[in-house]
Amino acid sequence: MATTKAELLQGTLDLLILKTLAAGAMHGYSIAQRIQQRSDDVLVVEEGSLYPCLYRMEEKGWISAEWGKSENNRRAKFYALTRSGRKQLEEETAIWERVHRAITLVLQAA
Amino acid sequence: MKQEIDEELRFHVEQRTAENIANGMPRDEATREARRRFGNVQSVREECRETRGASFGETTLQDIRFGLRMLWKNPGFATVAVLTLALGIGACTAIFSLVNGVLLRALPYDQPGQLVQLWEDPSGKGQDRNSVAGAQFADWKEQVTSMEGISVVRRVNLNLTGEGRPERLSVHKVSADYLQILRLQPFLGRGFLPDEDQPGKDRVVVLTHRLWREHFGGATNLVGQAVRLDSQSYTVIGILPAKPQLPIECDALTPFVFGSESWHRSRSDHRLRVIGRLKSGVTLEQARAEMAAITQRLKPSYPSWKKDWGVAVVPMHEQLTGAIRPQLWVLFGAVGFVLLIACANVAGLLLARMAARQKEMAIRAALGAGRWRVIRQLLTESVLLSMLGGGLGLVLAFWGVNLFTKLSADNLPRVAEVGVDASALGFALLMSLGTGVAFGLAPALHLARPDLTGALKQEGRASRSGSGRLRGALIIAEVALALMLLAGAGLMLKTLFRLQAVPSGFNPHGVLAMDMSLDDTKYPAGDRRAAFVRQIIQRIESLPGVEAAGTATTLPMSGATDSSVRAESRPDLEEFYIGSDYDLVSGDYFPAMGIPLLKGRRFTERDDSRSAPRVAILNEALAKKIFPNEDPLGQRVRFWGESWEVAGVVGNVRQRGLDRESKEHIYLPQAFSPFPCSLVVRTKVPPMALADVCRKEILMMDSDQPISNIRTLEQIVAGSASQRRLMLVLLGLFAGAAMLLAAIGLYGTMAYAVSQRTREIGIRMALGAQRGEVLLQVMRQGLKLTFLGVALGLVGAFALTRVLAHLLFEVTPQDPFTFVGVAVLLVAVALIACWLPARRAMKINPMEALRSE
Amino acid sequence: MNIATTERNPARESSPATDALIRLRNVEKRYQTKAGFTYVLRQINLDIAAGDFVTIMGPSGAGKSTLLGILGMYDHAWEGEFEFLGHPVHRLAPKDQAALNKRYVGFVFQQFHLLDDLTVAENLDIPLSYRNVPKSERQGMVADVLDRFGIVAKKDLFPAQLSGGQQQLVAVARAIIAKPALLLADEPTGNLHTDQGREIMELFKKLNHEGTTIVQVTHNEAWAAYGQRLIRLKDGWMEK
Repeated sequence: MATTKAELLQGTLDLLILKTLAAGAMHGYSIAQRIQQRSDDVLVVEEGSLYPCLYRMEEKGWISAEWGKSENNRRAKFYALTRSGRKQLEEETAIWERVHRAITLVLQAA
Repeated sequence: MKQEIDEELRFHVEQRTAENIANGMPRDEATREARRRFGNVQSVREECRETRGASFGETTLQDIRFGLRMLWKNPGFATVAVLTLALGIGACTAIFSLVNGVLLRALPYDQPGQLVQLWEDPSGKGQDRNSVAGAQFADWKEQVTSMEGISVVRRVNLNLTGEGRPERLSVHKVSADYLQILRLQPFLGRGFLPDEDQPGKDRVVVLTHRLWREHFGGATNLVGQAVRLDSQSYTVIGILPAKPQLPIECDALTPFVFGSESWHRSRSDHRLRVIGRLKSGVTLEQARAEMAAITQRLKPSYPSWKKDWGVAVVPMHEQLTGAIRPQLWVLFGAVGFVLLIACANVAGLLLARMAARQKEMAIRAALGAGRWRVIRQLLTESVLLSMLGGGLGLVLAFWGVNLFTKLSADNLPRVAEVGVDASALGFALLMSLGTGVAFGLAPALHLARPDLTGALKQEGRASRSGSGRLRGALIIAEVALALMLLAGAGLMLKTLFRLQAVPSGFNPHGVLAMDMSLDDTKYPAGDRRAAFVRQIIQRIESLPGVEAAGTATTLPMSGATDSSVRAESRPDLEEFYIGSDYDLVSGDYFPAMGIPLLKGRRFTERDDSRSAPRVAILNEALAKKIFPNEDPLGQRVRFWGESWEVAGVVGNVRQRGLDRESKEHIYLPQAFSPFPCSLVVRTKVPPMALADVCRKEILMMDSDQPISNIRTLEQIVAGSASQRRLMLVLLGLFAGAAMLLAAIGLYGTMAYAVSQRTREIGIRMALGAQRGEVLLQVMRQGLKLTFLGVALGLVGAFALTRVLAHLLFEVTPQDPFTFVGVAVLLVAVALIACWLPARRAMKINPMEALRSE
Repeated sequence: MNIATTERNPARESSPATDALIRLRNVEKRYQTKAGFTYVLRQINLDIAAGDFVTIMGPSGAGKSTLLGILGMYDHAWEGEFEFLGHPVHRLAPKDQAALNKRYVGFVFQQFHLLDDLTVAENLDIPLSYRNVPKSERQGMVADVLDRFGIVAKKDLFPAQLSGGQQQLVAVARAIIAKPALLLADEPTGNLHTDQGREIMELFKKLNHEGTTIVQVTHNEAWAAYGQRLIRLKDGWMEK
């Protein structure tokens, strides 16, 4: 199956990261992997946008970071969801669903 | 931070590489692909860093750098501000060092709160302090349980002879446990053994560090050697460390042998000081209660006239510092005023610069700086300014404290412990931070207004009125504070003038004074000593340039000793005893001092013997009190348990100070004196010129006779007012600084106002205003501020000068002349400060001013 | 005696009884600079009669405003001879010159220069208060002028609340409230629209008809035509 590199809007990347971290803490590489896997390889996150996004979300307080040991015993930075991050996840999910419904309606109308 | 980002990205690349290899890619291809997917690592790194923003430290550093550059570009403003702050913070730190060293810090002994001094209290209510009688001490020592130990402290003068120059030492005779009470250990040798205050074992001495260093050159083998004190041989058993010093200064300690003299067993001869240490856990209240109880128990054995006497237990700290405490706090308050004025000035300077920085702030806001960010930047700048000022101020404080302690060593207790130390440093730091925020906050809040972008279009007219009002308020406050300080200084000045005008009862001009303590062994008190003293006086009087010479026990304003006198014709009842100072004199004491003989005659050589008929001389006050209706000559009085005939009456002398009324005084011949004496020499030439000659003359008579404390009588009189003079100097200094700063502030405000109103002034002149009218209008604002400030200051002075009340002499704290005088002075200075910049306004050429728009 | 120089408005008769208001002979002004002297005005010879309406024109820096300042006796640092109503100004101390100025001269600026913190009425009052006119009289004179210029309704407004033209109107009113014999105007319409400018020039015309001598500096040929005499300055020299 050909992978489509979709250009993700920044807001959407936030949402995807938040949802991925809801499952548990992980480092940047794993986050990218997970998103790619869960989306059936459709969504491939650019490294160049992933890390600035993670740093921005940390600044906003939605995720927290801690250095730890990875699966292969290397030092890596692990991100986890904070309480306000969880709330943000709920809000953004709600917004996304509303938008999604609206777009679907428009497409159907045509 | 950068490293962390790098590490994280590197990890990601490694993981990707590993995965690629797992998918079958060759190693280099795997790495290359992984890196490529990252794209431009540098820009990713930058982006990450940007989102985080600079940390607190980085922004602060940036602000500091910018602040320094701003100061560099405005050297005039920077210099004035830094110097002003240095003055304020430096003076505060100096006074703080003083207050800290003297008042705040605990005494340098182990558990200093347990140290006390005990006094007999004639008032019975804890208000009076009187020396302790020997028998009293013995009773206390026997009965007290709340104290670890009590010790006498008896000051005597002994002559140190032998090697080196003969020196008169101030020696404290103390109980054997004195050093234990203080918990002081000699650093060479040992302290006293418990039995060394018994007769025969008491010829031991502990030297203070200073004596050891100065007289003995710090010789390391001195312990165990013998020294001669008053022709007796004493063994040096120990040498005290340099710090801490004894609470009451002396040169050496020897044991006090109880019972060796009759007055030791008396209950009415009070000559002892007593210190003690409370047992651990015992409070002051408990000790006081116990002493009161002991006193009650002992009452029956007291003489009747002491039946109301009590005991005062005074904490050592209060004993040493209590007298000077109010003055130091007054100085602390005064210097606080100076600091406030300095801050107000700098705040005014900052406000003036605001107009210039409006545009800069507006641009910063347009570039995205939040309000708090701008405030933070401005506060950083002002704290930077105050830190610079504080640093310079520390240097000033250091120098000032050094100078001050040198000049006022006699007036300041614990002066050795005063210095600019770590706590002063901390204080200076705190002051700097505090003042930086204080004077920087208002301008910062003002500048960082939310509608900054609007300010870009305007010319900042709105800010002018707001800041103008603030500046005006600051000036009013400065003037008020300066007036209060001036009032204080003025009152002190008037006090000193009044003091100088007081007739002292003697003629202090052209008189040399020196102290002699006579060796008890060589010249036992009595006829032999009297003869020796007369000899000295004769030899001195034969020197060229000497008009008259004599001796007395205590010179005026060098202390006083008192006892009581009764007319012999009156019954021996307490109510007929009159308290009186006494002195034992020899030679031409009265002519040398310039004390007039009012009736009868002076002492002759014949009177100066223990076997001669006893005669006494009274001063006018005593004569009037004892013999109000009769001629005192030929009458007899009872003194020291003996009968004396009154041979003469002399004029009154202000013995205890110019500010105390003359007290009753009785004079007896030298032969009856067990005390050391002081020699006075009236000279035709400047007194100090003869100092060496006199000393040599006396040494020629007895090469082991030390002379100490050579000074002029004028110095003694001046010294009696030295504490007040010190207060005057310091208050005057602060008041002067305050006035100067306030004037500078006023000048600055006026100059700024003129520069802002150039256009308006030009218009008015073009419309026909005369130069004089313009001047007046410009000065009106300044004058208004001045008068408001003076009015406020007068109210404040009225309320506050009472803190000086105890120092004033013949001047009320609200003396109207002084208040009016300093108000006029301040207004005059303010007028000049307003007039100088206003003068510039007069010179404005309207055509030029209006054309340059 | 009447000495005219250049063009004269033929509609205006010179009555032999009118004395020259202003007589300048060889008036010069210079500044000392590092390179020697810089002349601002050179050999100005000029007679202005009472009732004249004179326009001074010339390129920037020609010295027009400076000349105006000297004429108004605001500037005391010049050389030459200057008679004002027979008074030898060149021999008067600055204080006396100022007294003459106060009595006879009113000035209108290009930038209006009203006092922003005062109302229109207060602005008008100021010249009178400087001339020791008693308070009762002043109120009357201010009311008079407000009425004459048709701005009674605006008497309590502040300059910031007026348009440019209105402000200049008030400025002119202020300049003539003390009934000066000579009105000097430095580019009075420079900051105004054409309509507002015309209003001001018409006002000047009316004042001149009522007897006020007017000397104006302007760049605008149209406004210059309101005067009956034109003086051109260039580099400090009067052009013939």
